[in-house]
Amino acid sequence: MSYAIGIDIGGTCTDCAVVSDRTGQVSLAKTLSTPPDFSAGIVDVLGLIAEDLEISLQALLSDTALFLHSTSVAENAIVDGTLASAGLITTSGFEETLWATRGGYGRWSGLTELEKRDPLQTQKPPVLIPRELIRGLPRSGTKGDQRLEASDEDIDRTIKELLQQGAESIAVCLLWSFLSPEGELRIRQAIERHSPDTFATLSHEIAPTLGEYERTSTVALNARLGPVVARYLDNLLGRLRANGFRGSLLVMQAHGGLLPLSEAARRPVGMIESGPVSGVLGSRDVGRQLGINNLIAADMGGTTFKLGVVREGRIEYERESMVMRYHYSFPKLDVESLGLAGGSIIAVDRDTGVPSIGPRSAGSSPGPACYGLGGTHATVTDVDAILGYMNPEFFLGGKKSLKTSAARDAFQEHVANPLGMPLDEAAPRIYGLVNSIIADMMHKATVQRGLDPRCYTLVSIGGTAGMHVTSYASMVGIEKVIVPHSASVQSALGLISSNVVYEVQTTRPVRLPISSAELDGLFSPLVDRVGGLLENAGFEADRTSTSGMIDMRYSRQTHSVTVPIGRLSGFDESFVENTVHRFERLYQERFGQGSGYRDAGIEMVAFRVRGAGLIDRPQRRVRPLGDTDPGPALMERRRAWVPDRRIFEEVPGYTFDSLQPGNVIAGPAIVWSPSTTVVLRAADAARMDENTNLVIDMR
Amino acid sequence: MRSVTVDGITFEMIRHKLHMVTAEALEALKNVSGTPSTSESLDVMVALYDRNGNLMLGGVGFSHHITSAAQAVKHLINQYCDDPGIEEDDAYLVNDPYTAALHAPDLYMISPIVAAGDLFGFVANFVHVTDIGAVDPGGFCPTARSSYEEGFQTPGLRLVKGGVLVRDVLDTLLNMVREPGMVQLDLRSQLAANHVAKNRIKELVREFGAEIVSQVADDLMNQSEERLKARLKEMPDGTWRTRQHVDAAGHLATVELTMTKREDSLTYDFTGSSPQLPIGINCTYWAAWGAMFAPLFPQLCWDLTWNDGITRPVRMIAPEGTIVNCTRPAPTSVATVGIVQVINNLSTVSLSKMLGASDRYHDRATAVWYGSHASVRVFGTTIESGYFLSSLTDTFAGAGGASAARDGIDLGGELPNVVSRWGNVERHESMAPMRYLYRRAVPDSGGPGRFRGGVSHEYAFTIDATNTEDDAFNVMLFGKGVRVPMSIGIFGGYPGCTVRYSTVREARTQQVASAPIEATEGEKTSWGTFILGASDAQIIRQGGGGGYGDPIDRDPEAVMADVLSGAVSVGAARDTYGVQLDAETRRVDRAGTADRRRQIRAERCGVNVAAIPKRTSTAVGGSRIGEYLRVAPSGETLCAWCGSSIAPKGERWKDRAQARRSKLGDDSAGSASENEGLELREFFCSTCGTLLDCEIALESDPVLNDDIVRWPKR
Repeated sequence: MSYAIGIDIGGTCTDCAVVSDRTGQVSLAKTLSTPPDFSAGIVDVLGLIAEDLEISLQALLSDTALFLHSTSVAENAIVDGTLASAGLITTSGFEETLWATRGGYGRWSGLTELEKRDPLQTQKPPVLIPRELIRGLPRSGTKGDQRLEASDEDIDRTIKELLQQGAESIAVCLLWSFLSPEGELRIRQAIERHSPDTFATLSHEIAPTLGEYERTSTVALNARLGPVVARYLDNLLGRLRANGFRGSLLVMQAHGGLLPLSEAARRPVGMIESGPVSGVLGSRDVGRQLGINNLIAADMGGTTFKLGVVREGRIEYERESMVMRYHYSFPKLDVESLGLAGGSIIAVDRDTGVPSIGPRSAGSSPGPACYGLGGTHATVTDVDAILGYMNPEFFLGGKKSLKTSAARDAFQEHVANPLGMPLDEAAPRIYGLVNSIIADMMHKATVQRGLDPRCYTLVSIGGTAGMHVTSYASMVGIEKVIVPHSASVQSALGLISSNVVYEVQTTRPVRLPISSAELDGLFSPLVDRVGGLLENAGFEADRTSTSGMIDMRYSRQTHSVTVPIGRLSGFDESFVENTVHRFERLYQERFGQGSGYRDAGIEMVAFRVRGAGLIDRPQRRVRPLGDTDPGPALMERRRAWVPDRRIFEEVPGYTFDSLQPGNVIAGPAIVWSPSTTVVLRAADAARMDENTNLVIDMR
Repeated sequence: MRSVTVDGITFEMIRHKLHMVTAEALEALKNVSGTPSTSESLDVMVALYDRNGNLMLGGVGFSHHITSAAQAVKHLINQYCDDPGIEEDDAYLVNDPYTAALHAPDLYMISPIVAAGDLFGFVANFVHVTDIGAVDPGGFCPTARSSYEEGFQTPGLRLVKGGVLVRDVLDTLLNMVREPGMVQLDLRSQLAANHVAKNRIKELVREFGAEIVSQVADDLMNQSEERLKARLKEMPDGTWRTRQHVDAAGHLATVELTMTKREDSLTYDFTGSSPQLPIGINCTYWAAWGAMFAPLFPQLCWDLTWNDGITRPVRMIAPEGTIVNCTRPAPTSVATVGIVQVINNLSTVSLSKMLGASDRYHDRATAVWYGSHASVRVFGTTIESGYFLSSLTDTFAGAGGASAARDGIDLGGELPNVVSRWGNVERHESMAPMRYLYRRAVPDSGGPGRFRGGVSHEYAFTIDATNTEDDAFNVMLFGKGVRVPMSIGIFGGYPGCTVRYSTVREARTQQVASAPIEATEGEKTSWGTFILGASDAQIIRQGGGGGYGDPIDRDPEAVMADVLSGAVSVGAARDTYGVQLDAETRRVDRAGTADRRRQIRAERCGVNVAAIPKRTSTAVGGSRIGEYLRVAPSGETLCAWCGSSIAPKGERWKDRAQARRSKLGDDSAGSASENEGLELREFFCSTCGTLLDCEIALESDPVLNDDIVRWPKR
């Protein structure tokens, strides 16, 4: 077996990275996605790779050991409303938890600040499970000593009723189940007795955290996604098998690891946003090869801007995750969405002459005016075209024509005229405004979270990113930017750099002090469970790596931080001391000086174990560094705006693919790749490294 | 209109940065504070002020504070500039309601922002601190009869001098509160938030210069002022009268509001409101001032920057010594869930009546959202960890008011704080030794109307005897709106349900959990502190949102859907909405419904069913008064439903409408005697019986008449 294939399917594109362990060669390809049957796009993109490798598709697939996959199929199903019908069993008295959405929370969460200010125009999203498919069973006891007060007959009857009413799957969330799981387990046994093929989700397994609303919402989403995602994965595997694939299919989770198909199918909420997470992992991998472990991964495309932070090699977990305004709780790495991208529409208030960027977007259809697809509004991408950055030959892979004149017309009418400025003055100033706003948002996502941008490298991907990155990064104080050669398929690259990961946790608030025996009692079952899971997935002990984390907080404060720990057994007093020390440092970093209240005491809230099954992967080939002269890659000279000189100037334009490792480009300059355009200011210098990444130093 | 003097692009760059300053500071506040009302329910505020104390920019949160804190800043400038001085990196506390605050526990932390050597402005925030050393724990004081029992109150105290916490001041403050550790954390969160804002503003000034940034701030204020004025000019000129009776602790008090709009100015006149009371629901002048604006921001200024410019066209008349402008020593600790909220409600209704009379904006007319908070504090001693004091966040669930285009949002929040929410049951059970029995929607709680008010919820809890010392803890209540429904409906819409409390002694849990509150035989205590024992249960029903328009004008299919979802009972569907349902097919009986509705109209008019006309098929022209009334060019008032004349030129329509007066429904209170003198007034079109307006009044109250003197030219 010699290939590992990584494929990421997004709403628009299907990206692919294939690495061969014979040669270490990495092949990249990209095609349009093919909804509703996405597997057609997979066959298309693999066909391109096979062609590149000069073998047949059958030969490629039959020689592939690992097929690693991230997909937006879960998000798509939620957006399109093509979800399974699910029933919910919960604690009686709390059947309306899902519907109540914690009061107004469901009405305003997920909205922009501007939208929140107009409550008369806000609405809750449709409820995930209707009241008639929800049943309550009584509880007794308190907190960790919770009992389900229902007979087996009651439970059986409840399940039977839900199935008769058309539930294809069953979600279960009882109060306090993350401390007292017995009730939920009894319900599952009953479901298995009754209808073993019915998809069932227990809240303490999938979201063992405090907070019944978020837990219920998670099981509801999971149960409604379950049958849909299972069908998708079965179909995909069938299609691959039919083409000769005999290896394993692993599916990416938003926690940053892969799971075998059967496991992934049980927890489809874990797949939500796994594509963007893969992208951040891809950027982390680019950093890892360069020995960089503090980086900001920014992906600015036509319709979205995603941002992830890797701090000391780790990516933080997200709080209050949401998909399409539905809350869920699942260990998901934090990828933030900023409300500004290439398609953001620029408008000017006729009364005051004040411009605004977004929030309206021209999307990808009709898209910016320069696409020539009927878009009449001026967008950020149109400004980039006017400033001379975009090269018609590279525009959208050279397959569509760039209509700079349409961009100029739209900008003249909707922006320059209302501003009362000549177009050539207005466009650079709007460009500056866009970069300033991005810098503000980036500040909130980084500095506000206690990290110093000067210590971070920014990895920039996405079609629009390269034209803005040097400007906004320098505003935030970042000194180094990398535009990787894999920029167009970063998520696919992230896949082939990932491992199989199982994450298990126990939520059990314990106020310190805690004894070594207690710690042992909490961690050893988790370690055993992860060990068993890895073994089942076929990993020998020497191909696994297990790490632990503890979520800690100051008593009576709301926020917790996840503290990585160095050991999973043999705990002693100094271990607790060190962990507390690390907790206090992380807390201060995250929430600011003096934010902790030690006198109230410290609590360990959740205990987590992450077990990785390390996948054998070939060493990637690097290329030797050569001459510094980029001359051979020079394509043309053209008039473009130089941001830090504030003039239009004749600047050299290079083609990314012709640059050789070792080449150095002094700004001002432009570099075109099939996936993006990189603008270098006069102060910038870029170098192509041995992995063919473009590394920009900003002074 | 060209209020922006800085070039537009620079303006937008700086405006965006200013917005981010408040957003980042709010984040810091939430991150550090341990108080659930801050982090779980978002009972918070951060705002920027210019060097004269004028509101520059308010972030989201409880918005009555952003205008009141402006007064706090102005007070500091006037009183302490020279002695002891306001210097760089100082921070002051203000929480005296007679100076500027709303009530003592909502502590303003105010920091001057000195940039490039000069005073640039101020940043202020508030949190409801865990305790303020008053007679009752937690800051709300049902026991207090004067402000001297309501704890620590300062008109200005320098807590931080030149960046250093003043130790003796801090110690003094912490020495008088019940939970010094938590209060210290509250203070720290406030300092952290101001610190973030100060640094960001300094960077901003460094980049653009103080003059330009100040200019943008001024421009923003002028822009909001001009836009609000322009919007006001698009509305009719007139006077709208509203009134709300409020019952609390056995008192019945009244707030009267006459809102007059002329050209581009708006006057709120509270003349006629009750004298101040010896219980803490009173509000001071600046609390009333903030309360008036809290709904005005989202209702009238949803797309404007919330700053001083919005306050400029608005004037307030609030007679001294009344519940809307009390004088020392009247207690005020319950103001925020007392008269402040009543003013919120009346401001909403007045603005909605004006909006409803506007051709352009009538879609924005809304009934009152969640007119009465019903806060609950529990405190006592746990076996696990000693003293506890916890506020239940159920009251932050809210319920939307119905509006011209849609139903109120069930459990949908409130207008004065556009981002509130409740905390999970598991969170509450982990903070206090208690057990929730249920949280569930209340059928028929949403005010009936053409569009229905959002439903509210009811919940019950017991103590967790396994973790409570002495098998009991204290429950503190300071409720209102038990007798009088507080979420007023509009244009014929009925109010949402009242608040209801029931303390069931020796409760059988199973029975409490399965029966609605009305079915329980409990004590109806709504004010004060009492003990909840091991076998007792406490039940609280929150008030629903107000309705919009006549309920018999509601789409019968929507009523059917409400019955199926449980929002409306079959009885109310038939009696209030006039919808006949076929129990077997679960369908609307269309013919039966039409008959039933005609019958209701006939009963309202006191005529034969045959005399009721059909709905007019042609649109009734003229200027709008609300959903169903038009003033024809001739000056006659017409019913938009049937097209017939209600009142001739020169006469007020309510004088000619069919009126019906009835005792408040017994659902609104325990016994009829408690409601002595209170009545529901319904005004119908005398021809077709369409419900045009409802009033809840004392028998002696004059009818509320509005006078629209001029509509803008189309």
